[in-house]
Amino acid sequence: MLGRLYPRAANVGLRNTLLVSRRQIGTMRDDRYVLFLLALVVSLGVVSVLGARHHTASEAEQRARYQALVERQWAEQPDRHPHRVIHYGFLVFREEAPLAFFDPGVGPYAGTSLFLEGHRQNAASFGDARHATGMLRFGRLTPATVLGLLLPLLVVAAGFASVSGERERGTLRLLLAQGATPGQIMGGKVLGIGALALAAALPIGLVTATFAAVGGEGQTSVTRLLALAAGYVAYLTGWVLLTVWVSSRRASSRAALVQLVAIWVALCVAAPRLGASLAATLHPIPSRAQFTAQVEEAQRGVGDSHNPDDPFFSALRDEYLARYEVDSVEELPINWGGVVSREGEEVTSRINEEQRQELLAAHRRQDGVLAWFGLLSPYLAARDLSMAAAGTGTEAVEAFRAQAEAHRYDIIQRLNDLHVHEIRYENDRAQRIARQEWTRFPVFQPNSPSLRRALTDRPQSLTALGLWIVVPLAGLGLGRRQLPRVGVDGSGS
Amino acid sequence: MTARTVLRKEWRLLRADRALRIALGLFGVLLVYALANGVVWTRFQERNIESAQTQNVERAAGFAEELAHIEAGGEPASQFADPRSPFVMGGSSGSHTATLEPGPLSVLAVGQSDLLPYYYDVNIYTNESTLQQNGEVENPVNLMAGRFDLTFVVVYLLPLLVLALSFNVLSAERERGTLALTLSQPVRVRSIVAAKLAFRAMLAVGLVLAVAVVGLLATGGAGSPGRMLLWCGAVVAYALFWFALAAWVNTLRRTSAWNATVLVGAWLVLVVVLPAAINIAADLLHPLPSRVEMITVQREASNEAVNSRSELLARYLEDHPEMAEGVVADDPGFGALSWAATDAVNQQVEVVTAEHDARRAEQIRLVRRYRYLSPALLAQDVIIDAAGTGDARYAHFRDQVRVFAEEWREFFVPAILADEQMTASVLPQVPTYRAVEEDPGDAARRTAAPLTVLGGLVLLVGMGAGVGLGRVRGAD
Repeated sequence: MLGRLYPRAANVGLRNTLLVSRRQIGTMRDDRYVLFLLALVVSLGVVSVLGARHHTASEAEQRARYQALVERQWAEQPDRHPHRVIHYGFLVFREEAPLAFFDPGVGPYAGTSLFLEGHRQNAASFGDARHATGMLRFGRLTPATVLGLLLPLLVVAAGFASVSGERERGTLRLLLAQGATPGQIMGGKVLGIGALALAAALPIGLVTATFAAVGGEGQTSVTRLLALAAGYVAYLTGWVLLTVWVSSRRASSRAALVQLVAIWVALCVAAPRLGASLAATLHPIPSRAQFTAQVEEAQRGVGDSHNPDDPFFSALRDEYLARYEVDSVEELPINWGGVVSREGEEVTSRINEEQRQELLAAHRRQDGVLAWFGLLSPYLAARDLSMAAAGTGTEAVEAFRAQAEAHRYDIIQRLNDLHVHEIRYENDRAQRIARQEWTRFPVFQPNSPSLRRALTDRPQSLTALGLWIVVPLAGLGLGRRQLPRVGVDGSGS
Repeated sequence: MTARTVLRKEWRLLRADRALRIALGLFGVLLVYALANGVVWTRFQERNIESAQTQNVERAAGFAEELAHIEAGGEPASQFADPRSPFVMGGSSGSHTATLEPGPLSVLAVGQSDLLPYYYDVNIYTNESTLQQNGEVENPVNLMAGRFDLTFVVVYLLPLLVLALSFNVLSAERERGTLALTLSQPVRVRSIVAAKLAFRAMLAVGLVLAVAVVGLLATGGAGSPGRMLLWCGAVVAYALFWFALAAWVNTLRRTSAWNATVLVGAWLVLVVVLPAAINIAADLLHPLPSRVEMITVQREASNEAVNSRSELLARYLEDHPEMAEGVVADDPGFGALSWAATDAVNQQVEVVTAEHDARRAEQIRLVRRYRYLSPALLAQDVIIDAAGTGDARYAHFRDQVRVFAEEWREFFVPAILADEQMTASVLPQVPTYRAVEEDPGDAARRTAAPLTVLGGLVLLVGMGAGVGLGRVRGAD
């Protein structure tokens, strides 16, 4: 019979493996429960792509519209004193990555708008989650959660009895007697279940790719899509291998199912929260009030740009007076008020940035704990890599903050330079800069961090995903000799 | 065969089952760890509140000291932070921090408390947009994951323990062949299953409640028995729902493996898939009004209000007293003018925000109806509301802060308008924030409907199970 089906299959091993995989596919096709789950996962996946796409598209459209409005308001300012403009400030909105509809990552939990003004470094405000209901804490259905959370369960449901069921029915002995080796049997099972996982993932992937293409992001999106695909294929392969491994080690299908579900709950439901709470305990983060107090404390140590009698600024004044060889600031050829403002900005910006970096370092230490925790939970690793590939991880949020801060500093110092050179010291406040000047300011154009950077920053997650495949594979390989004996001598029950 | 015989037999069976012993032990450990997490988070909030209150006192004391110094003929330490100016004493450097104590049962449920602000610096510039802005410093990755608190253990993991304890409550007897034997005695299936489940329910729910109550007593948070009762009621009803579901599935006369698969499927749908799907459906059907829009409109409003004058002139002057030098003296009405600008901005912002908030409240009202679709959503809603870490208590806090900010303005603005100077004698009269805790009855009223529906679900499924069990015969 085999000869008729695969006349040219020279390799008997491959032939047997394919035979077993066909057999597994046949079993799954006859299982209404599995078919129902397959349909459920695929439809949830497709619906979530459509829903998330709609949501992010309207958000992106809004942000783009209002960003344009803010830019226009900036450019259309009347003649103004540059210091007035420093306090008028500028508003920037964080743009979500093109693939945020696939995996929104930390986006909803990070601020979306940032007010850029003189003297202070504001934190981004208005995270989406803060304006929703407590229901959101159950998570929003996204294509990423369908692939990362639900598809593994489909794999488990379809494969928990793959080997143990054959054993219970007594057909495992038959297969072995017909000359299939344990390795071929398990290989065939892996292929069969893998085919089902692929059948579920493919439609979701195709819909995602279609929408990404419609979004018109071109080259970068293709590599990101490929990275996402590779990550999820590796993650799901691990689940397939684990399912077959556990099924082959257990005498009863019931025991295999219980164990696999327990593993899923531990890895996908409990681990993310356990990891996060462990990270928060090991590396506590100050509260907003503490952080603000720290910043103020640091500022106090260096000098108060608003207090002309401050030692720092009197030293600066002496230096300027000496440099221009004059006796008083009134005689300076430049505007002393502007100089104070400029130098003050430099000092406060530096301190703010130092404090901010300290806070971010604490965040990174927490993320580090989570990354190590990912070695225990491939779901965490896969989620981490998924965010990296989609461009919605913490590094994207941080890149926005850093670029916005650089932009803020640039604009404020340009305004201060105008103050220094274009405004006379005498009767300072009554003077104005002509409105044409405002259109010459640079426009905020943030770049998202590169995919390569995002991925190379995550060695633990990459390792974890590798281990996630290697460990069950090794288990299958080492355990294949025991296959005929499981359940016979009471082991593995 | 009495219920006591069944219970004794059950106890022996459970003791013999190593896997269940491990599961129960692990569950106990997770409960304690979750409680510890809740305690740590509550203490952290308490420390912050305490330091905010200390700072309130210190700021007032600092003003008192400086005013005394000035009255004695001294110069203000900095002429730009002269406490005699109502813009200083009532402004950001004189802010009074309004705080919200952690929820009465906050150690049991972190709820929304890690997302929603529990303190605001109130000063004359406090308006709607400052109430919504808070410089966020928490790690978004942790916010995304959520906290590992008792509520998480109850909502997600307790059902799994319940199902592990009861998925084969009847089917195992049948598979072992002991069902016919048991039913040969003058006893009804219903009573046996009820006794077995009651025993397991006492075990699982008792463990949760014991950890919760001990934790609460140990941390001195037992001051709100009404809320505690609500919390326990929600936990018990939620656990009973899963027991009833397991009993009902057992009456379908399938194998234990089938029961397990179906029950885990039900857990997956009700706890994981449905809530997530509802969230995405809510986005589509009832999109929340864009915050981006509100921020921009607020800004535009502020800009319009002060186009003729300097934007937020008062604040500007506070930041830049050197710029105001001479101006205040030359122009006595300056303070009043700049306050008028600030006030105009506040009014505009209020209009914009009120409209936005009304739309948002309407959408949230619609979204919240969907919680009746899943017992997990209902249970979470009741649990965090009972704990005082739900959205409602924070909304109540914001309302109080609004009132307090108004009180603060009413105290300082007349002085600003009249161009008066503040003296040490006004310091004791400066308003201080006194939190008025919401009436525990409010939480009970809010949770009455969801709790009733949850109880109704338990009755419904339990009755279904009862009817099904009535039909079970030993010969099955």
